[in-house]
Amino acid sequence: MSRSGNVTAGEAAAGRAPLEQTVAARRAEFGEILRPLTLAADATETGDGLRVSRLDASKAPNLATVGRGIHCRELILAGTAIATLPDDVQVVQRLDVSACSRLKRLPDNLKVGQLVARDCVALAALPAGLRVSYLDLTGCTALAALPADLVIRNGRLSLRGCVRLTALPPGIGPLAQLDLSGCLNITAVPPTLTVTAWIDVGGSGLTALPPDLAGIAIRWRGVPIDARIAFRPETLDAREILAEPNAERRRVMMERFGLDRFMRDAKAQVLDQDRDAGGPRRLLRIELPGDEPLVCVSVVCPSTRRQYMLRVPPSIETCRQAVAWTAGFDNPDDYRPTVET
Amino acid sequence: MLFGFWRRTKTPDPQLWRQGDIFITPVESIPDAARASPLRHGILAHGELTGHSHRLDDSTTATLFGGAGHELFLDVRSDGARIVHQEHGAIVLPMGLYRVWRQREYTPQDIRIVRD
Repeated sequence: MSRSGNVTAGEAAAGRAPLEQTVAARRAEFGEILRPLTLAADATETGDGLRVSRLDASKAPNLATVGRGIHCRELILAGTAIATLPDDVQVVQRLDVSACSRLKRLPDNLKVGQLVARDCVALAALPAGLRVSYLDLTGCTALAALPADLVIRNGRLSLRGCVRLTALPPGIGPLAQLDLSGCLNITAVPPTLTVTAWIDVGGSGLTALPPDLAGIAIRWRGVPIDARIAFRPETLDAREILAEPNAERRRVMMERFGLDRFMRDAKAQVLDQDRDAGGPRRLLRIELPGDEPLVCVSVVCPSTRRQYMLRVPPSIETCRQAVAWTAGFDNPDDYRPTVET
Repeated sequence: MLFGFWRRTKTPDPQLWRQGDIFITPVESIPDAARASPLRHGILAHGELTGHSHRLDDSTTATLFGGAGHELFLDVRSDGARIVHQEHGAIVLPMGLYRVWRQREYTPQDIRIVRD
């Protein structure tokens, strides 16, 4: 039975009956009497053979090497400089490698309860044989595919903002929650996919869900909506949107319907109008019940000739002020572009 | 009167280039946090939906730095660095240091960077 220096199972068991020794040793094995360890800010490596309950290296941004033979319940490596993890790392409950911007590879056959790998922007692939209950890959913008043998049983899969992903593996799930928001290149989910709680489709490439998922709770970047708002926004109308009592849901409805069309259909008040290099500009306002007013500036791009609408703070009164604000200037006199293309 | 006098004698406005939804202006220096994060891809901004990008035409003409929130910085070492985009005219920046940022949009929850 291997034990680290700070684990006292052996000492505690010394002099006791064989059965008690066995129990104490087992406890050590399951980590019940292991202690936590937080690495100092200047640490660059963990060392080998650590057996601890929680190993926290999140205060050590220069940590580049995780040693061999590490066993713990929680391993927190968020924000460190690691590029890989050793193949023999054992984490029982939670592995957090969020914001490890150099991380390129995780060990094959990794089995852990929760794997949190948010904003691992260099992670282009996941390892073979990965088994988890909770997998958070939010912001993994380099990730091009999920492995076919990925196992997530009845848990959560968060893929928010994984813009390079084009598909989910056909056999994935069953899942409790699936977040595909911002996955603009995922245009379909596997027809046999089972999701029991909710699916977030905000800003994804999905235009429908398979029949088996009919009736599932749908979210749009965290806001509960329905399939009509998500996939058939053209069937909404301005009156219905204005009558929606929930401000969050109303905001999503406006975004899905199109701000431009909404402003036209809702007969917005024109607060100001003038012209710039692109053409006519208009500042429009609509009162929203129980919410701050919606104020948008409508402009024409001088290069593409396309008209677009940007929302600005409701205190803004002129087109000039509004356009300067969108450029980052609170004082319109400070915004004088010398070249515009 | 005093205000008018000050307005006439103050230094001229700095150059401000606009290419679609990005803005570029000269700066005195580049923050250390940004200097520590050079970006080799040469892309100033990428349109998530359109796939278009604002980028250095020749990545050897300037160094791009990130690591400072939504801002980027450019160190143009050659005589001129061309910033190109599929739908907008090119901008040519003379030798110098620059700050680059994107257009913003208001939401009641926060201020969003515009994504086309």
